[in-house]
Amino acid sequence: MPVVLARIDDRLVHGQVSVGWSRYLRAQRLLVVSDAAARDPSACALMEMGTPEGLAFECLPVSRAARRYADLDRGPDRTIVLGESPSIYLALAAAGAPVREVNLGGLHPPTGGLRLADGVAASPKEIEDLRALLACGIRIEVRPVPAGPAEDLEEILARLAGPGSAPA
Amino acid sequence: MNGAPPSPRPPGLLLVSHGEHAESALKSARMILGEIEGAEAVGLPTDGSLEDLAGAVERALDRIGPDRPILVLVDLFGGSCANVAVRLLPKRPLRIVAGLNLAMVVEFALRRSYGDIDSLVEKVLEAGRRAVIDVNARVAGKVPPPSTA
Repeated sequence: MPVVLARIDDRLVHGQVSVGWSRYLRAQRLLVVSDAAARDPSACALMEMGTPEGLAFECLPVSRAARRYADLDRGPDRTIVLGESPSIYLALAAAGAPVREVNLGGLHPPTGGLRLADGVAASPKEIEDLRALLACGIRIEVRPVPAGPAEDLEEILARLAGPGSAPA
Repeated sequence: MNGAPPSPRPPGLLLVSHGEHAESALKSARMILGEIEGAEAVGLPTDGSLEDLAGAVERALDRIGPDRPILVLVDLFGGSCANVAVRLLPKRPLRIVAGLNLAMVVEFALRRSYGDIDSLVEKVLEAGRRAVIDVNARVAGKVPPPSTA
């Protein structure tokens, strides 16, 4: 099975993912891509403990994740990939991971940022990275919870650019 | 689609609690999953009468609809909310479970479209029990102990 969800979420493994999405998509494997978490064994252990039984868990630094992403995408497991920022997916795509669509599920920049949905806001740098992902032909859906509202990021950005303004 | 039989509606859910626990639990579950159709919550206010509570419960059951099985999740067995629900049993074919926690609400929402109400109730009970965890025991050895200053 391919990667069934590639999600941007700065909280990585939490209720919306471990209980919501993983059950909703009947996921079998969780791949967390995070340099910070991969360096910190207790952070990984805690995330693994928060992962429901029956869901395989792995945490990799960005440098080792693109290859794994591609393998999992051809592998037998229904896999959810989690990265804490848009830049993770830029790095993955640049390194050859077959990223087709990204779920933008949770971003809480310390400075507030541009609000895109409930629980999703983006700093200027993150907006720039998200636009770069779109420019790579990657579709981005803003959808924090499985049964909640979903909206295409391009449409949100066009709307936020102001009424009457043409999409860039 | 023309001529296709209407698919039966999945079971409904009513949460009943002392105070705002029920309503908040439903809000919390929606924070995790999104909309949960056919779910209602009723709370017993400090100065509320049992008659008022029974009326509110019946109205909520009517809103959920008569054409589907309904699970009533109450907070405490033996409490007013459970008692009010039990008194409705001769009138309505309810399934009642006590011990409301968030894991049970989430389990209900994720499972309800599969299988019958009996297996759903079993899964909800199991999820509720499984969610009660001694976290210290679970994380022992995996998290460094507090440093003593």
